[in-house]
Amino acid sequence: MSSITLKNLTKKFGEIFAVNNQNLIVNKGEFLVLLGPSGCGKTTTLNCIAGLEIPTSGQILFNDIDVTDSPPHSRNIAMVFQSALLYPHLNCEQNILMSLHKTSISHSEKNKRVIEASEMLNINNLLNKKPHELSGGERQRVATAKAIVRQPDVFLLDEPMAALDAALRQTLRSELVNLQKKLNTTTIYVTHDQVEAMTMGDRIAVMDKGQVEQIGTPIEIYKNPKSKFVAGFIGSPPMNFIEGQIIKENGKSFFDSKILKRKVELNNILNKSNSSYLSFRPQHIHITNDQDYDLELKIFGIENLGKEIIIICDYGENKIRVISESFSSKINDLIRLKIDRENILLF
Amino acid sequence: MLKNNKLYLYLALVILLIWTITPIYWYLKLAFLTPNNINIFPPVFLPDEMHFGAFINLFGSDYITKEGILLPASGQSSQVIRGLMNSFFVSVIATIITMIVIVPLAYTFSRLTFKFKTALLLSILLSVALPPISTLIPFFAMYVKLGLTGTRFGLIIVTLTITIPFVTWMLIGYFKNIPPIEKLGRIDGFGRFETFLKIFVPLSKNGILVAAVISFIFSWNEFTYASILVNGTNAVTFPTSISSFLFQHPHPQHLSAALFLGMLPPFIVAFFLQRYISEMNIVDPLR
Repeated sequence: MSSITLKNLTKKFGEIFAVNNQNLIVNKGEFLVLLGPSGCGKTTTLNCIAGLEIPTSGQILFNDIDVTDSPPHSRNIAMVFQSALLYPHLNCEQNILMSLHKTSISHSEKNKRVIEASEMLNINNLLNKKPHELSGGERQRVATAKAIVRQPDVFLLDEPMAALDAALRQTLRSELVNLQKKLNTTTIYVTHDQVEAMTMGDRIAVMDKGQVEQIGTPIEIYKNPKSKFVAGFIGSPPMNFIEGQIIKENGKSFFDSKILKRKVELNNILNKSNSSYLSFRPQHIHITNDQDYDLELKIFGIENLGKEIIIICDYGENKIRVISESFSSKINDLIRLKIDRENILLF
Repeated sequence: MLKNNKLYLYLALVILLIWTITPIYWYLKLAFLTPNNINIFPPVFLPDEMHFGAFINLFGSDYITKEGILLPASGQSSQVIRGLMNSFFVSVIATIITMIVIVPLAYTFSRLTFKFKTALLLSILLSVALPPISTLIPFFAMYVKLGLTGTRFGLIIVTLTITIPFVTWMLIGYFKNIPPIEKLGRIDGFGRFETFLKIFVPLSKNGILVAAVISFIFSWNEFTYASILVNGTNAVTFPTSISSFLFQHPHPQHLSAALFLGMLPPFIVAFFLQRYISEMNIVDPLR
């Protein structure tokens, strides 16, 4: 088990900053998710931690020991790659054993560990099969077994489930978290899927343009996103944004926008005078029939999820999403909406 | 509808087969006919019995048929025997050298990034595209000065200029499809060269084997250079020794027997090639 510290980590590819002056601390035994859109530098960060990429500048510390220049193998890490990469020409047992090939562990100990790992992941019956004979979920399990058999200090996972279907991902998510808690190994998990991040991480580091935008527990990030980027990235269906400006009248602050039927009064805690976006989650806006409403919009689309209905309204290029429980209008109808005053965020 | 399509497919296949195989069959059957049967009209479609006299003649022995007719040994036999041996020697050595060169070369081009990569790749493509005849005269002039004409060593060098670019180009495509196991190797503690030798080469052995086979067929069939650089010398190759039949008293059965022998190694080799190609398809290199 290791803690990981990144100090001013920078990686340039040519003139492009893939990772720009990044600072990050991962605690011992923590499951940290690096979340961000593609090209935000999350995989490059992971590769630097693994030792697959040499940082342009900055430091990587494992337990306060500088490992910036040491090769991957000497860092005692294990890594699971995109779509659970395995050696295609070796069977599963040989694949798992390759993790221990360059160690001084005795033969019997190696075999013991393979058996342990394969029992833990329930892949005993797959050991003689080649990777191409396995299903996506089985490959994932074998790749995880290959990783844990080394008993690493740090676990690195690079979008391991990206190629799997939704149902399988859901099962594997909890299995992986369960395993991580059992082994208590420091884990960094890279994904662009905010659902994976929310459900798996002890903490989430949201990355954008080579830097960590915000780091915190899933609930902190969901409730108090620091920036419009984080707010828009976390949550499904996504956050709604209304562009406009803050105006002061009689000592009170209001948010005003062309699309709003009336000015929205802001309480003083929220008051960020230079904000230009009023934002709220889809569950914090409601359909109303009386005169007490903020928006009147045309329905663009209706997504019925069974337990709830997502109503998508549009104005110009912008969309407003509303979660409702029961609903009877049709596409292109006009509906009136009221925003919860307590759940407004400003950016 | 689907059944109909299949019917047309088979029909097309049959026409294609007849189109390609008939001329070969027509010529090859001559090897198994007695000289008398060759000339009769209407022509014989299938020999009543397999008659191996032409092959025995080709290897320099006389042959007496059941009817007591003496078929004398072919005057070309010494050239043919020498040609067979030289062709085997040149093809095997050229293939071995080709493989030693191209496996790392194709690996470098397909899996690593470096400066001027595209330009260098295109230069390989250019040498594939160059017709051998265009470099024949420069090679000849050079070889005369170096004393390499009429040597197997010289022929191997020339053959390499054909096999290396072509097979490299082919293998680059195959290597590109192999998953990025280098990262896996580095995490497992293998050095770059070790990963290449101990993981990558075994992993891509089917593709490498196919490349070796193609390189062998190219060397075996090489005619343009050999006909100018080594024909009529001790380093004569099999294809050029066959061409010498043209300048002799016609013995169609000898020529035909020689052609049959010439086709045999590529045929055997292609038989295995096809097996490995289908194996390559089963093991999807993308996974």
